[in-house]
Amino acid sequence: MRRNFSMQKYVKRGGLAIAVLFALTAFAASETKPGDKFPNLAKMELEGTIPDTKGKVLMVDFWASWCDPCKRAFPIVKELHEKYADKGLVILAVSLDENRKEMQRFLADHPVPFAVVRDARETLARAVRPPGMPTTIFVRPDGTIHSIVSEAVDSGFKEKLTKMVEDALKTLPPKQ
Amino acid sequence: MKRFTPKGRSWLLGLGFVALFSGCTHVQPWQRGTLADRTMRADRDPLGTAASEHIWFSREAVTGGRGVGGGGCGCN
Repeated sequence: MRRNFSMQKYVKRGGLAIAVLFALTAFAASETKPGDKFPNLAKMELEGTIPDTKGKVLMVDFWASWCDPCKRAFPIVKELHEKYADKGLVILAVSLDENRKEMQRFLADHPVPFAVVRDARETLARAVRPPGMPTTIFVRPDGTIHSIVSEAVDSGFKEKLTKMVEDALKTLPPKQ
Repeated sequence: MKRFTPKGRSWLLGLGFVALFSGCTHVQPWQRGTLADRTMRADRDPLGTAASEHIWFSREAVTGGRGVGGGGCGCN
């Protein structure tokens, strides 16, 4: 006997298929959160020299030359480097520029005292999944993520970032 | 020609949906360099924008409310 096949069933099953698909997408796109292990930078195929971070707090700044807020954040990051580099903070700026020349052009106009690498193959970005641009991640000396800052670069940004640096530096082991 | 059974049709429809929607992708924040380009801005030509604004104001007696600031990078 031929079964009665209503439109309602089509809609139900189609809806279920869409729901499953969206659920899978959401699962695949989970972001890194504080407490997670930060990926091993040596394995991330980054272009540039990775600084020595042993026994230090690492501040990873995801930026790109096309991102205006990232560029506005750069002077603040520079100030933090000058203030906290000798207190155990290592800053690594990870450029997500597709075009290396655009990154180099920006850095030639705005030289920075901290290390800059380019994530040309998006390996680190895909592993970490920064929620926005710019995103700053603080990594404890044990390699776990202390905090993540991904906010508008407005008047309170500098204070927020400074507080995060100071909190992250508290995770350093006491000096002998 | 052999017809699909209702169950088969249902599966076909479901697969069709999956195939269609899997074409959608979420552009990640770090992949928005092209969207952030100046050429992506609706108001990239100041003179053209001013002319459009003037026409709009003259015809509708209203002004402003055009688009949003910044490019399309969706940065923080």
